[in-house]
Amino acid sequence: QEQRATPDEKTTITAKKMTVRNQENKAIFEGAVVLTRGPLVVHSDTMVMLYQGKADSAASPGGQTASCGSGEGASRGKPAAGRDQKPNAGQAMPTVSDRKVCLIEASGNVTIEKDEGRAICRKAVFYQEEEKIVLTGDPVVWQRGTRVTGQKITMFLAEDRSVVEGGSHVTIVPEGERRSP
Amino acid sequence: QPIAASSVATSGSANSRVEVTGDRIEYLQEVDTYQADGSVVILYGDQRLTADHVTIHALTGHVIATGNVHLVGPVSEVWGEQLRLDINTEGGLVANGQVHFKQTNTFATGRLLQRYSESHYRIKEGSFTNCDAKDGEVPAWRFTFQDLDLDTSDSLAMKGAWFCVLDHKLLPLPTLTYPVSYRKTGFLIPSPTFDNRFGLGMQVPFFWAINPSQDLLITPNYYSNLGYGSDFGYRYILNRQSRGQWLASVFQQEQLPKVSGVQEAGADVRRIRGLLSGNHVQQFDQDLRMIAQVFFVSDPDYLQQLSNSGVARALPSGESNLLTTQRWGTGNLYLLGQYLQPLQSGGSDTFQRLPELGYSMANTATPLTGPLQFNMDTGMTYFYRDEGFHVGRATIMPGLTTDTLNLGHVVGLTPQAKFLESYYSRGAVEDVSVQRQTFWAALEAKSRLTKRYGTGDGTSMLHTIEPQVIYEYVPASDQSQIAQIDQLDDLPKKNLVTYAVRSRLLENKRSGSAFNWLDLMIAQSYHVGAVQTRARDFTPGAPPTLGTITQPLFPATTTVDGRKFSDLWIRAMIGNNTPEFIPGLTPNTIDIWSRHYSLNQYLTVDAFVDPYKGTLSQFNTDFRVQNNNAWYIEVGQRYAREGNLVRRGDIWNPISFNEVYAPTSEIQFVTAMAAVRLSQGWTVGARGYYDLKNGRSPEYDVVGMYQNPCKCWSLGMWYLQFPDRVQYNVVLSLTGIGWTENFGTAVLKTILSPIMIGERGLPWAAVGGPYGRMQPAGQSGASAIK
Amino acid sequence: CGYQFGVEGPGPTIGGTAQPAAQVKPGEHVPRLSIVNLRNGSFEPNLEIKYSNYLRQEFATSSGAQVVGGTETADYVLKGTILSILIPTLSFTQSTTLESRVEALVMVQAEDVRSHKVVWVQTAKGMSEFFVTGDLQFNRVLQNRAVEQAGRMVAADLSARFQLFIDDVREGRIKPTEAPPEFVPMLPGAR
Repeated sequence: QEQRATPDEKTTITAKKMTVRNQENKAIFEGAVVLTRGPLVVHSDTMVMLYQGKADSAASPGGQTASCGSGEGASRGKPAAGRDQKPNAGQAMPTVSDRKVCLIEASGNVTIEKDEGRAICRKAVFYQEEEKIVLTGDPVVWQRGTRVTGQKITMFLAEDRSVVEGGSHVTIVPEGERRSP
Repeated sequence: QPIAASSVATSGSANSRVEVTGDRIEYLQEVDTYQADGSVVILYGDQRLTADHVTIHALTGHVIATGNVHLVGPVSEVWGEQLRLDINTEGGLVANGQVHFKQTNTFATGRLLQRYSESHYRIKEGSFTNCDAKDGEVPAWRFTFQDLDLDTSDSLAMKGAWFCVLDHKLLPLPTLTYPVSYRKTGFLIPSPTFDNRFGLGMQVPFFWAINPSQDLLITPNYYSNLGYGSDFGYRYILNRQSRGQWLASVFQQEQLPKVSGVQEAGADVRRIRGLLSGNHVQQFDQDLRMIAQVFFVSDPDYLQQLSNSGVARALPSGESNLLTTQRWGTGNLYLLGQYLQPLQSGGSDTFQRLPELGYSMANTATPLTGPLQFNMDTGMTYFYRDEGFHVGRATIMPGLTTDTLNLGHVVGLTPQAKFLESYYSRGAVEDVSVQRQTFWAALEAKSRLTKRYGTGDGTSMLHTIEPQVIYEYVPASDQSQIAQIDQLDDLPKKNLVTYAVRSRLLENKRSGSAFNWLDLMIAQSYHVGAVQTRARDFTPGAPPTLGTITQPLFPATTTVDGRKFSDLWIRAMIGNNTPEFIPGLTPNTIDIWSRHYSLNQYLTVDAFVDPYKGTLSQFNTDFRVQNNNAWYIEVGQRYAREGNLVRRGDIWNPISFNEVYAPTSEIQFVTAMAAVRLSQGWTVGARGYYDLKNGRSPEYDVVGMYQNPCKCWSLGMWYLQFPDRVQYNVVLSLTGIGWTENFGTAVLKTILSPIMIGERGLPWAAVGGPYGRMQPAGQSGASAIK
Repeated sequence: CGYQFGVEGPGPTIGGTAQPAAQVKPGEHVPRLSIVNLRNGSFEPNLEIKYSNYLRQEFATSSGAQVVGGTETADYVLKGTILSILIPTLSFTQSTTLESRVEALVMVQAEDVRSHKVVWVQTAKGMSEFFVTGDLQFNRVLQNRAVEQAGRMVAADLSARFQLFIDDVREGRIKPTEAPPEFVPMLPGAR
């Protein structure tokens, strides 16, 4: 039975080096990075985690969702409210742990393993908001007899749906012929 | 979140891998479905599907493809706007589609194609043809239909169909069921025949495939100026030991055939006439075998008046044999019944060998005979005849010989001897038993010179020179009381030396086959003792010394000026006259071998030279040359001088010339056969026999055939000319459907097939099947079998 | 002049050298051949014994091999089938046949006794003409002679071609490997 990572499941990341940039709402992990979250294990050379900015979230008009980080990763998700804005003076520095992760970007020899599935690529970006993972850089996914390749593989976790784009190729191997990838 | 997980049990080649490529593939895990878009290619088993958009239900193996759908498999190719396919069963539906079967070049279109398997479709409102029509061309012929059930390994059934030529509706076919695969029961295409004496003919063949090892072809036929009847062709291969084929022809004659030799008065006009011919081979076990060969007509003039072959019309007799052979030791014990039905010769007083029981034994070394080898030919024959007395005969003929005694490998000597004891139940004149003893003694000397020449390019040449001489002696024996029926009754004195030299030039090609550059034999006999003074006379109508013209007891003889030296026999062959086989079409059953065609080139000369006059007494030549499948020509020439002609061999030695027989009228005869492939799909050929001496031709045939570029139909034409009548006809073939068949087809096939072997769309039963080349068993199209 | 006398024979050599004539290397022997009676696939009665005798006589003297009785001492075994005897008419008028011809087609194959592989396959066609008279039984006599003469032609042709094969094997031009499968037809009933 597949195990799904429940939202409140604990995520642990280990790496040789971790750099936190609070102003940019960003944490950078480098060197043999391993992210574990329930049955999901992600290996990569580097991993950048972006959080939602605390001040931004309170002051955003119209209920617009808070912007995600302010660094390079932010540009991937929702456009940051303003790139050059400095945090308000005197504001307490948000600590890493009690902030909400909005985007994780793993790059360099990325390996994702989960239950009977496995994926490799050069870059994988996880969007918390949309609950989707985008694999690029010659991504290859194996899952119980199915092998999927393409330029870009997008997995919509909430909808149990994945989309392969750009020279996409799926190989469905019958049960008799399956070997572990 | 789990990454998409799916598995599909795939096509008829169950559990084969499925490859899907496309610009974009979306996988819906909930319903285990793939959606592929943009230049989608799916490979599974030996099938390849391309389309703009494809949905794959992995669990059920169902595929839905839309937009420029193209499914390619080893057997067929499908195009359509929309395709619904079950990868596991290969079944499915195609909307507004087309299907092309590669092997047969069959092309079908339809509003809706229901696919049961790669070779079986049900199609609504569409068309079907075996002509090129894939790229929008207008096919030479096609069937349009409301409903078609096409199974290329079985049959084709249509409803509401039309037969169209160049898309013009020609023939309505409300319903039609047609066997597409080999040997299926059904009517074959009826065919008319035109004969200037027998009038308009029509035959409607019906083929009944009784079971996989037996079939019957029933061909009712009718001639407006002659009568009506039917042919029955029955074939069977019951098992490896038992096979045969029979043709029975029954004809109710209503009017006298208007051919030469038929007198109006006195002849019974309305009568039933017929023919029975065929053979059966029964191999009881490894050593016991029975063969039956029958040729029997209802009346002696049946062939002369009704046959469509000049050769058959002139046959002197028809022969039927029933032979049982038991291999026993180094010989054969046999029981033979032989009946020679008198046709243009012989009569009710012709002796028939009913039966003969005998044993013949090969040269066998036995402890008793030491270095000698013993052989034996013995037989008891009862010569029966409808009119006149019968004769019983028993003969025993032991023989002794040795292995070759070679003198220093220079000369090989082989002494041989045979002793004959014959007993007759009665004489030619008196009903008193007669006996005769005689013997044959011979000494043969052979030498052989050989030399090998290397030709440098890996081939080699072998040259042999083989002089041989044999002296034979048979004493004179009294045969004045013996009815001269066959070779054992006519044993004249023989005191003869026959010398010969044979020279061979064989080139061994790198492929291992050998080419015969020259096979020359020169032989002559010399009468040591007295020369021949009387000779058998063949002048037609010459009254025999005793007996009747139809069955002489003592043949007519005439005085001849016997000579010491016989005519000189020269026999030469250049080239190989053995059949050559095209790889892949090498037949391996006897039936096909005996009906093969020589495709090679050779020249043979068989001549006798009168040494006293230095002129030719006989001169036969045959020349054949072929240029692949472009053209070939065969020419044969026969010449026999009037007067004495050498008799070739006798019971003792088939290559000796002890006697002449005299005088036959001169023979000058030419036979020729040729065919050439012209442009624009035409192939023409002709065969002719011409009697130069009498300036007449007993028969010549001209044939032609047109094939359209894609060879999906062909039209054959033949014209037979006899001195007293003409027959001509056309035969039409729709490749894969069948062809009209009548007598002329055999002539067409004989003349044209040497340059059409393995070709597609021939209007006759070809070794390669209607689609050409050797078809896997059971897949060549329906055919009328001859 | 390079020509060699080549009369072989299983029988005793009277005088002359005991060495076989064929250019045989030291330690090598003239190949021994056993000939099995042919099978008769034609409808012409009683041909097997005659044709087999003709084969033995011709191969004994002019095939470069030594014909032996049984297969025990043989290197090769020759088997074959008389495939067909066709009798086409050569010359005829509207109602009389003047001359016919016998065409005998025989196929033989040589098997290597040790490997049981077919190493040589050959077909041969012998032809002989005969006149046709008004006496039916005498026509059969003439036809029998023509059948026998055609048989002698076939035997002589096959033996010359077999010598070509034997020489080539001896001189290493070809190896007696199996004949190509398409040329090894199923001879029905062959043992």
